[in-house]
Amino acid sequence: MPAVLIPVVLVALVILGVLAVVCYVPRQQLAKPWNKFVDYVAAQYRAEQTARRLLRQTLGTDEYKRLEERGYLEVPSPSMPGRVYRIPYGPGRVAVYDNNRFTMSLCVQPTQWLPSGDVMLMHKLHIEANEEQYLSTANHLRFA
Amino acid sequence: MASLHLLSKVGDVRVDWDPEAVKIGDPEALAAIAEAERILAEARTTGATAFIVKDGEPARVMDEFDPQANQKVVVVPRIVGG
Repeated sequence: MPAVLIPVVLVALVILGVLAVVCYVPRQQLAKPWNKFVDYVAAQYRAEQTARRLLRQTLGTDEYKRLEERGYLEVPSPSMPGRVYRIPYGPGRVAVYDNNRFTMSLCVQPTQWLPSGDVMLMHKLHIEANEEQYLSTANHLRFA
Repeated sequence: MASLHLLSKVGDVRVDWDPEAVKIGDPEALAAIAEAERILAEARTTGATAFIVKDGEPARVMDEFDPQANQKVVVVPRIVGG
């Protein structure tokens, strides 16, 4: 057999295999994993929407609008003048700016999975009300 | 209207109640308070922190739950260094 036909034969075999599975496995069993996947994605979407709603209510219209424009939220330090924490929307480290100069980044995460909006709220609330403990919990990454 | 929000994988679990109704012993409000206290106690056993959030003010840690206060409470799961 010419070497050029080998990929064609392989693709044909895969298609035959899929057809065999579709023909012999009951429809309900095939639909189960698919429905499970769809439910999982839908639940995550709903969770993100709910978290975003709470974030919008907590931040207020103006601050939420700024967040949408910039993609991050700035929270001033309650104890250190000139320090600002920049919280990204979504995954990523919290950047620390002292007098407008980037000084370090902080890695903090919840012990359970949370939607992005809730993670952002988690950082904001801890920084505003619990800064000392937040800093002692975080992993600090400094850049010389 | 006061509320308690527990941040979780579903977004947030929310309980609302009217503090004025709590003062006059309204059964529905008392049931909501009982549910909020249960959620709070359960979350605290896993190391969660409760914050009081008010418009235009920085958040503060909630030490004691006051069902008659008109406030928004957000319960955040325990955090760790990443």
